[in-house]
Amino acid sequence: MQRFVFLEHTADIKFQAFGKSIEECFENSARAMVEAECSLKSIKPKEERKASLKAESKEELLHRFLEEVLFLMETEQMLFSDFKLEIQGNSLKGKLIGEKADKKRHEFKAHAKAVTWNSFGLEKEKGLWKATVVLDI
Amino acid sequence: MEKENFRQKRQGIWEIEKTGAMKVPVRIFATEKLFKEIETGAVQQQKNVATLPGIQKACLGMPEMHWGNGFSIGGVAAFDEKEKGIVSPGGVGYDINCGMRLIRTGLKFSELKPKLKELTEVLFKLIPAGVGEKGKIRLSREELSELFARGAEYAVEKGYGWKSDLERTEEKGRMKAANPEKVSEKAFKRGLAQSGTLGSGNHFLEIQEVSDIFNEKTAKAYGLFKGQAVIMLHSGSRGSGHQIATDYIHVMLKAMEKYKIKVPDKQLACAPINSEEGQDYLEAMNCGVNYAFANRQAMCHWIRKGFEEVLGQKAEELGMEMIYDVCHNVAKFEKHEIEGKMKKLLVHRKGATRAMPKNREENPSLYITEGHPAIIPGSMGTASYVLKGTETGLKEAFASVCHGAGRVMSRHAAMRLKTGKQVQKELEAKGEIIMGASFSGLAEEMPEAYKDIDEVIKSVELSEIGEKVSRHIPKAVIKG
Repeated sequence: MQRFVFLEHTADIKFQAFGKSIEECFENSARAMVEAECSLKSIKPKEERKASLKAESKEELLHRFLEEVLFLMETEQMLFSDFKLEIQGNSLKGKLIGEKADKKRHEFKAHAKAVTWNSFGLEKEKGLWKATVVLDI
Repeated sequence: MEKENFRQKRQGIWEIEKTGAMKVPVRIFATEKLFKEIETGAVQQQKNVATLPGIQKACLGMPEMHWGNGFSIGGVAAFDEKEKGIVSPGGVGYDINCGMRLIRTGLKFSELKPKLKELTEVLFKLIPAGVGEKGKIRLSREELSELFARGAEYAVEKGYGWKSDLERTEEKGRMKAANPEKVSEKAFKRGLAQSGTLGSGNHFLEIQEVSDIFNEKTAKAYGLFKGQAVIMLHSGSRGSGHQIATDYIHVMLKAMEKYKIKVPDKQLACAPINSEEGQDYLEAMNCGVNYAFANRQAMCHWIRKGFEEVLGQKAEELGMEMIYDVCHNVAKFEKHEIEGKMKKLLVHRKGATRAMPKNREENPSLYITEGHPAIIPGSMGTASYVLKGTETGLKEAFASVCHGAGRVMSRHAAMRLKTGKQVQKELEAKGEIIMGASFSGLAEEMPEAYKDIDEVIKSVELSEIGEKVSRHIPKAVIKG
């Protein structure tokens, strides 16, 4: 299974992420978001951050989770390559694993300003979860 | 694009009549060439905006219009509070008060040329640019709150720049209806990390040469002359503005259920202007506007310091007054005539620049007889322009003109076409100095990824919504 795929978009960054479970789909969505900014391969698992979120729907939960990842990347200069999430109903708990950004080792490609609602979606098809996300950059 | 639905209203103006749920028509200001290039998706977005409650006259598209989030980029829409009009964070955009600042010098570019490389290197060091670059200004939470409330006025008070800069900034660099209590802790945190930074993406600082003057009288009033070296800055409200937009889109999504507003696209989330949610957003948005004014004010100060360091003269002696600072992502209350009646409207400009003609009260007193400058950047490596507003623009475009070139190519497509190094080499072969925080950033912003700025300006002239004052060519570029 492909983890994520980037799609064409004139002004912003659009991707789809997949997972056999909802957790895996969330994790791969976050990976795609990080990859849009900096190569995942260059990020080492050195530090952890915790996330605990609630929403009114699974779709909103994904939106809030990606916003949280973006917020931590920007305010703490963190990069994440791995995620361990547990989702129950419309709540999420988990760990974000990565390291502080280091200009000597990490080359930045773009910076996401926000997770938009444009084309935003989370759906389950034939046992596979699929998220569609557009980042404003 | 489905051209059959459009008719040419007059030269340079294309109109699609209201159908279905649309409350007003969609009007696009463009030459035939640019009109043909506009994506169907962008037109559909403006048709969606035309359905929103309280929209007045027409939903407008500027010549560089392209697909955005909810509202297309290069769009203008005005709403009347008294007719259940709405405010929408999507109609302002994530980068609240993304805007332009133009600083003059008394020097000819030829006088500056021998020092250009050194100057660019010094400015690159002074002004933090690029992803994850921290600001040099360390603010406490209280200071940031003050900055949100008072914008460039606060920055000047703290020693960043001159008092006369405020007179030359839209709204004197401060939106008074700003309330930091309506700004989330997350937006505070994002704001603290990035104060005084240029940003990434299409944000830039350029040293330019004025190549053409089209209107001698107005150029003189603005302090522009042919051959002059000027500095142009493009930046916004950074993470704080992005977070304010993010937060209030969530608020609006919930408010829409309460006020029974239905929109065809979630990104159009909105609330009535006179609702609690609408007022809260406007007060928070104004904090984002003020943050961006202060940010460009701080960078203006460092630009002057850089020039002083390299040229060994005081900025005052170098004639480094500001020409103007104007935003192109904002919503603000203005009086406009609708069917013979003056109405107070909330004008959303997303990727559109205000261009008030002479004698309108929004002009600073020093530009009252000309109308203030509208600063229009080209894409990296191409020309930029200074325009001014017209009476036609006031009547037909809510006193708005374009905001830049507008993308035509996706970032991925651009990167497949050329590498950042190639782009740098090509621009250097044209005699420009390019310093970028990242090579992929340079590739994404290549001139080929944008519409032709000269054609965009031609559209503004053809439709008579603005007039050319000057054209500038880039000589040194610092990219985020």
